[in-house]
Amino acid sequence: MRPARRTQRQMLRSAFTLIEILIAITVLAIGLLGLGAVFPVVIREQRLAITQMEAPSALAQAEAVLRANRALGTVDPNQGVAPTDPGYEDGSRWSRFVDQQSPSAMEFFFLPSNQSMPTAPFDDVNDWLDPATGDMEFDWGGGANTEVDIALAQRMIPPPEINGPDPEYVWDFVLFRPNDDTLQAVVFLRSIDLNIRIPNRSRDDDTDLGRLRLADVLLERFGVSATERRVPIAVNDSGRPTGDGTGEYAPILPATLSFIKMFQINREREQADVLVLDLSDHGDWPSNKSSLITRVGQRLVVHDRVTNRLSTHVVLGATESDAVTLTQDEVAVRVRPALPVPDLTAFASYGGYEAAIYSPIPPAGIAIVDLEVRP
Amino acid sequence: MNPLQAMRRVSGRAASGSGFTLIETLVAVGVIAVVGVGLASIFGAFSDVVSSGRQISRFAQTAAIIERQMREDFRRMNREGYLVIRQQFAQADPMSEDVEADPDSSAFDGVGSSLDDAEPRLRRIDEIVFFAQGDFESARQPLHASLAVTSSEARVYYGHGRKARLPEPGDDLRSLALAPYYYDADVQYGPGTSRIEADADDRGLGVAEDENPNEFAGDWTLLRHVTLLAPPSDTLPDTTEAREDLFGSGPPISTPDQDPFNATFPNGTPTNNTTLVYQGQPAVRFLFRDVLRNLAGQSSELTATVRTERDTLSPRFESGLVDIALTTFDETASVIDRLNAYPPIDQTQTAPTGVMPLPPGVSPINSVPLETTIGRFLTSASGTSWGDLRVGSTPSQNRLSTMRAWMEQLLPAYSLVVSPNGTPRGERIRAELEPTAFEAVITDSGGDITSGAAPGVGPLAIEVARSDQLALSMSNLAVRCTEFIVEWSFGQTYTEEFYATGGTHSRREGELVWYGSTVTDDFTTLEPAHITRYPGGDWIGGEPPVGAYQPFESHPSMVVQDHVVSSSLIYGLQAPPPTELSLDALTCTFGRLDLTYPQAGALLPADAPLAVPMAWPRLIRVTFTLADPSDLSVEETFQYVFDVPAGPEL
Repeated sequence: MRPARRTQRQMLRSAFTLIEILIAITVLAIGLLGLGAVFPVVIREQRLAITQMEAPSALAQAEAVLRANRALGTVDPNQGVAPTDPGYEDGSRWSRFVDQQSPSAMEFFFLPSNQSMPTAPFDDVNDWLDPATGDMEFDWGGGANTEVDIALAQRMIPPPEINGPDPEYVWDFVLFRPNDDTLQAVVFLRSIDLNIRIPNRSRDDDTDLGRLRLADVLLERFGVSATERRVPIAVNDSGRPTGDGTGEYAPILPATLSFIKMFQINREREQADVLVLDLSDHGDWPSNKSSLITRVGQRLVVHDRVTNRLSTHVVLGATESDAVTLTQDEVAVRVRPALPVPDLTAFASYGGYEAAIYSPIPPAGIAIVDLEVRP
Repeated sequence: MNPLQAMRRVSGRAASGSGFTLIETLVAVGVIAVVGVGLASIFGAFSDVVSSGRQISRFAQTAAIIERQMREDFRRMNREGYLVIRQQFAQADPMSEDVEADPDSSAFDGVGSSLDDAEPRLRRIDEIVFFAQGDFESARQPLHASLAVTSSEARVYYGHGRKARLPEPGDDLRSLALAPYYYDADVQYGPGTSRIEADADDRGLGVAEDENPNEFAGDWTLLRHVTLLAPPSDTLPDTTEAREDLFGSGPPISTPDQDPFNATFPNGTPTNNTTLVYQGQPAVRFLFRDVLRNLAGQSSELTATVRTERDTLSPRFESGLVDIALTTFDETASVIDRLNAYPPIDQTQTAPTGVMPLPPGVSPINSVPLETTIGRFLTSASGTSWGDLRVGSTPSQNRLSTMRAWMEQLLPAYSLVVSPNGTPRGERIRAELEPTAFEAVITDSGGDITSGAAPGVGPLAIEVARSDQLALSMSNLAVRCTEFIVEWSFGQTYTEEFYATGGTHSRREGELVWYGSTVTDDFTTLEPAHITRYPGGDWIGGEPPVGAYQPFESHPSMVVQDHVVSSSLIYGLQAPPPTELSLDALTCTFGRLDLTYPQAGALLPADAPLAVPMAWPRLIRVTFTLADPSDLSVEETFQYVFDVPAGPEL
């Protein structure tokens, strides 16, 4: 009898129930899904690694092109209205980008603006950058050789050769004038949107010319229509990156630093690695602007008015402090490296930091280039 | 339990425990198969990602090394020196009269990356050479640590190297090892002729010939060859330490064949740090390629018997073994800028009318009285300053041709794929992936290398031969470099006018103007206008073309401002028409004086400068393609832009 009972139990245990099978399949599916979820991470990290590897080289090329630009080289910082001139606020030649109330301190500017302190950055950007195409074309007058003309095609890396590899990066720059004898360009290198749609047809409907490629869509050539054209790095009406080239060309944005609050938070943390940025200059754009600047890996270029130098910082994330209440337009971010101040106790009296610029799409790299100023 | 009971028990358990039906088994197998396929596809994709990452990493590492090296070299470029860029294509059949650029043609001159490459294409094999200032050290292994050669001036060359044929049966490996200048020297060619010349027509890059080790682009190596300019010093180096380490502490060996530190030329001149040897290393007297060639064996000063039994010849750069020149930049510049005599170039090129060719075997420095030579650029025959420098007459054009010819001599090898008289050439610096006869050196297969039994072979010869063998790969920068393109730009951009009148839909206003053919695989489908080959402009006179480069915009004189850089200044008088679709080589030379200034008909104001510096590129763009070592059909192209140091102001 005992062997017979064991056999019966064994027979009962030898089969799986439907529930067991379903559970097993579910567990397996979850496992596979988990495994599959690794891939986007791996691919993203690999892309990030490649970007980090390529960025220094791409920036060096942008620097070379900027240094070789004869028109930029002949820019006369003294041409137009001096920063201390009352007419400076009118920005007939140069427009300070930030903090118009402190003319001797902050001299970020795009070339050239006929406006004073911009309240809407896009309006200012439109003066030199065509948001629909990305071309930079401006002329500050004064006769021959005063036209700076840097087409989008010149700022893409690899360059948009007819049958060359697709462009991967685009660079833009903001000019900065520390003093009358020095001109610097802050170069932002950004990755071109990955999901740009390329019409599936031949160039100029001629099969001998091959199929349309990414560069054709970005430059509206070989029969690409205006509606099919895309910009390399796009943001939508809310200022959010679209990732597919639809929208307007992503600008470089300003931010004012709330120095007192920075001092308070940094003193509390006992190290000067927190920036408090006031994004009210952005007006209503974007609605959730803080998320653009607190993203890990975001980069900020900060102006130190005491030394009149620029420094680049990587954002490590948002931070909070019980000691300070931030307004709706303010955001506190931890950065690396820490702010270069003599020591924390002197931070309050230092008072050098008041403005920064950044890209709504985190750049692959930033370079600060000294340009030759020629008479 | 008796056996019968046990059998029943086992049998019953087996029967009850084997409870998988066929259906269950099939379902299980099906599920396992599905899961297996899913996992395989997942891991397959993962593997692809990883391998592609590795491939990208390999490419990127090599490209980064090349870029870093180039950026450093361009940063150190001597703007007041000379810059020569040669742009040309590798050709499968250089002897073909009509170079075929159409991939659909049976005579297509494309070059594959390997034998299995089903789609050969046109590949550029450009070169660039310039002078640089900095800290340079000879890439050759010094015979002794105390004898390392350094210099603050150098000539830097980038371009493909060329492999020699592998040793053939019957070749004397010992001779291969001991013949440093005429590589692969063989008695059948006799002294003064080497395989570098004898096989020039079938060892060129891409040439489709049997046993050509350079036929496929996957076998090409990009070189960075740095020639140190090390003028001989009056003070000979202290070789005591080297002697003791190499020979022991005995008395110095006085036989020149056995001790290069104590050798003399037939005329009694010490060899060390003179004309052929520097710190025990081979050296050349000049940078000018054909001067070295013509000096061979014709000047007693330059006839040496110091290194091997074959070294009665002047070293040459083509050997790949020489990276020291016993000259200075100033000496080189004096020849290029001032010497009116034409280089003693080979039979494929002739001096223009009215120009005195430099006699073969004559040193341009010692044998030509520079101070009195007619046609010196800085002193005219009539005594009128700059009076004969102005282009517009034949003598002036001759002067420009002569200067260009000397600059072209800075390219270390006669690299034109097809010479002007139609013969194939395509010489390059020799470069091997590894020593070809190292074993002969190590094992002394000749039996008498170290014994000194053979004439001219001394105890130090083995050290020299070892150093030579290692030098065969000393300039290798990137292996499997299947294309190398060098373009240049004045930094100007396409203007609105250009776009409206002459530009094509592929060029946009504001885009940088690059010079040099940018031909890709669908060469024939492109309009000639896609290829910007020249800065534009006629030889002299005429209206400056739209978009032509005017180098002196900032000069207050409008007359000078109208001076336009002509194609002839950079490409010479014989350059093909700028819009011609051609695979002909272009050689761009950038020197110090603009000999086309002022152009015909220009009325100089009183304050106009007497001379103007020659326009130089502001940007150099380098494009190179690398093949994957595991699959030569996988190629990756990289492109980098470098800025050139600013030139002298007016």
